[in-house]
Amino acid sequence: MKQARKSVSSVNNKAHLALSFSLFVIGASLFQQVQGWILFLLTCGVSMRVALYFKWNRNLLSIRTLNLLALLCAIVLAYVGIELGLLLAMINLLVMASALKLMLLRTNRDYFQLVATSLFLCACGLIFQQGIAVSLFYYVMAMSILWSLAMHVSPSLSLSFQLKTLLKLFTQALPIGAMLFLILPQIEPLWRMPTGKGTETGLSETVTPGDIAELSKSDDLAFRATFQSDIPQIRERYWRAIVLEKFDGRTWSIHPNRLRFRQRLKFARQPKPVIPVGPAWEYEVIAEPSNQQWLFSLDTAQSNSSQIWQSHTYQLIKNQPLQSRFKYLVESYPEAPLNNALNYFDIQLNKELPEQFNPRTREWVRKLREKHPDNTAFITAVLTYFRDDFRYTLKPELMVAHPVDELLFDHKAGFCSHYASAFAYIMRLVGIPARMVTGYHGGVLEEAGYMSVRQYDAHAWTEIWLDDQGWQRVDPTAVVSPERIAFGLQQAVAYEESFTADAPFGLVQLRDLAWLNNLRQTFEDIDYLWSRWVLGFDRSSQQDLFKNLLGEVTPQRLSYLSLSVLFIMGVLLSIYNYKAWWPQNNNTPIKQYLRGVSYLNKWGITREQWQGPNDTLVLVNQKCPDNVQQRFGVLTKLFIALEYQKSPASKEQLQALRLEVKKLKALAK
Amino acid sequence: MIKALWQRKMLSWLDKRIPTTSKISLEHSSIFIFPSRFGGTFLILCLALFVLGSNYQNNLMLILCYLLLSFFLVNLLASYRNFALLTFKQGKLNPVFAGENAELPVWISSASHKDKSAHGRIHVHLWGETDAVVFDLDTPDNPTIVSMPCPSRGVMKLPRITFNSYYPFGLFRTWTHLSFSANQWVYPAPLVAPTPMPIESQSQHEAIKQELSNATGQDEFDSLKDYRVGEPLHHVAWKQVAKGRGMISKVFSSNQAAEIWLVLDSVNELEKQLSEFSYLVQELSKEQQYFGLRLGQLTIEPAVGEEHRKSCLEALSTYKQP
Repeated sequence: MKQARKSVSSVNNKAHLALSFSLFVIGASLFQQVQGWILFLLTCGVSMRVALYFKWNRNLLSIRTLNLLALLCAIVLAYVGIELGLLLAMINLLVMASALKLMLLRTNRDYFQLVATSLFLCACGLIFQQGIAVSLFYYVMAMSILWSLAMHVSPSLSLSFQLKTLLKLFTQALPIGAMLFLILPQIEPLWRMPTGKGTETGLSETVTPGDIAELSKSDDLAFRATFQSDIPQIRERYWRAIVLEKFDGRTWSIHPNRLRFRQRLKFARQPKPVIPVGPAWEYEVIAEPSNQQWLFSLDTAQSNSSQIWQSHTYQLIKNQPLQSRFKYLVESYPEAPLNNALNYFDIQLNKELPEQFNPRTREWVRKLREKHPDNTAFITAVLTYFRDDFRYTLKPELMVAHPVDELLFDHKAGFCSHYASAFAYIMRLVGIPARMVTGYHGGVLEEAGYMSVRQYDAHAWTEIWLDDQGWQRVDPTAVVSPERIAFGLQQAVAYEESFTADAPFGLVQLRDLAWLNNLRQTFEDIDYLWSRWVLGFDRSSQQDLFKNLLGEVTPQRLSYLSLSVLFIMGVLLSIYNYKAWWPQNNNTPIKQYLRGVSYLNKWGITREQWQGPNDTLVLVNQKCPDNVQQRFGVLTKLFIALEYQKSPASKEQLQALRLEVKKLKALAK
Repeated sequence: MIKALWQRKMLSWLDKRIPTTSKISLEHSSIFIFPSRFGGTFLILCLALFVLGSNYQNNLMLILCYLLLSFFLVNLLASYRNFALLTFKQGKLNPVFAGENAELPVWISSASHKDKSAHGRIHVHLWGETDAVVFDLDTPDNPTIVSMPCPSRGVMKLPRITFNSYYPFGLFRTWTHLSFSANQWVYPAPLVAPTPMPIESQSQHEAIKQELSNATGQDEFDSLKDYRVGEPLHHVAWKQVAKGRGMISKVFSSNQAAEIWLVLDSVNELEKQLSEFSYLVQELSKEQQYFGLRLGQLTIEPAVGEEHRKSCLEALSTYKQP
């Protein structure tokens, strides 16, 4: 295909204009990932093509200038790229290269390379966002690139005709593509891909209760869960995410020893097995992208996904940060005890006490412990203290110097992490191993059958180690504010009117408007279906599909399945193309006339390509007997009339022509 | 060497597969189809999307990959279907002199019924070459002139002509190599030479004298006869044509005093002489001179007119052809 080397001009070249625009829109849609100066470069490239199209300017940049520019850009990108990380650097490089190529664009080959790059960029956009609207946007952009391709290949066809062709072919491709998606094996990642650095959302890995004057009341979705089994009661819905074991008197964080230990176990590939006890909840979770590795599950959870690490703190941890929605199946055994841990290590870790801070609490605990030397009695006494005097609020005072002291003796009001922190600290003071667990509590069961858990459902509770039972969950918030656990956050703070006040146009605020609420619900349901069936279609869903189709998955049946898919594809393709193999219409004036001419062979006349009908008639007049001359004269006259009239020949006219041809045929016999 | 052998093999295979004709409607056996260079790039892109989509476990990317892949597949049939509608007919070839380019007009047309007409551009070039002439089926400008160099005299068999189409999305190249049946006459390249002196040989002198006695004057109207292709149009008896008696031309008698003989000698170089004769035949015909041609055994009696010129030039072309 040497054709590719031919140069093309941008003047009045719709293909170039359309491709430039598509590239520009794709580049603009990646504004969060692509550096400003590269977008500027792209804008320059696009405006150059626009100027060339409208002939405002005819001069192209010389190749030498462009090479120099490319070198400069590459140096800048290499300098900045180290901070960006591999993935973002690659995408920046791609956009930069296509911007420069757009300036260079001179030959067919340049054009084709640009098309391929833009299609690839479309796909890159899908790494970062996977909502329905965004995905549709990128698919439409991919189609507009193909449209520009059609303009390039056949420039004299009208745009609407090309769009029609594109849509027709795409509609034909759609069922085949869908079938390929369902049937072709979903393979495991071949290698670890670079990930971009996104901003982390959702739960934080450190909790400093006193520092936060107000809890985030975002109504963003955290995750959704669909239960295959019974749905747990609201007071049982403790979604564990992060376990915090290090306390310095103010801040809870993940213990560095725990991290190191986890690394070592991971290296040795020793996940924490859960010993199933009692009934199980089976459910599927679709987690929203958080750029963190923590997943959400009810105690005590177990998952078979190869991408999930089952940790010794009963957490589910993803191998890579959640950059896109992630679907996983979980089985939870609520009756299974959490005592399968590495006891000695756990106990040592969770007995650590900060040296300073909170002197009043120490004193108070010492006195209380003297009264209740028994652990159970002591715990009950502490919880009773919480229940009687304390208040649940979303707007606590700042407690900076000695957070626990201030909570317990000064303000006596706070939210879940205040209480969890204080309780765990008190437990550690008397030598009971205790730690803070953060995650979510609650969740709303939607009509479509799934449970949605939002950011404002974030919660923190305490776990204490009892020698005979293992880790036990104690939620001091449940004592302070039973409503929080029984009905959720909204009821618990109904008197405060501060609920999601920071989002004035937040959808939750507009709960009163029924139709808007319905609309919101519909969108969320569609979004849920999208995440579950399209984004969440994975190996196990595929296996289920095969099981449903085949009954039992055996190699033999699988081969039958692939054969039948090939067969269906063949049938589809032949349905699309049957018209081309259908016999052609013979009843046109020209066909009839040519049939008539073929009978003249008898008198030694063959029509050459360049002969018009009148030339043929002259030949006939020279060589044929009179009656043939006469017949053919009539035939020619009729044919010319029919062929060159404005409207297509009517049935009667065609009939008359055919009659003439028949008469000629009779003469030729 | 290997390339030449391969080309010969290929040509003989093509001769069996697509025999020489003057008109051909494309069909299964005469169409070749393969992904174009861009089609290859497109497949690599699909592969890249598959790897990327699998590694990121990103279904949307996989769906895009499969959609593009099936789009590719659907395109295979679409481009075949489009190309199969085409019909190629060769036009009339005019003789040329060696060194000139022969021009073969080719009529490209598509069956056109409702939505079943072919679209896109056809890139036409000689077999094995790359410089293409573009014919656009949507703004048809028939015929397409394919020009080919004719380096040496003789009857040249037309080389195969390749017709390519990339419609609709440039993913596939559909093509065919057609061989047209017309033969191209290539006359020896003319070389300026002095006109030889008229020879008045005895036997022919008599005949001319007789002719002269028939004549009453120079270029007088003599009689009517059937028009033969090649005669000048101003000899046509248009009045007779108008009466519907067919093409009839008038015969003039000319006052031809002497005749000229072009005789090949063995002294001078053969090709040079042929070239000179080629020039002289042209010149003498222009002057309406009587002349004859003798090439070794072959003799063409003196005459005048288009037909005579043609037979002389053809004789020159094929004489002792290498």
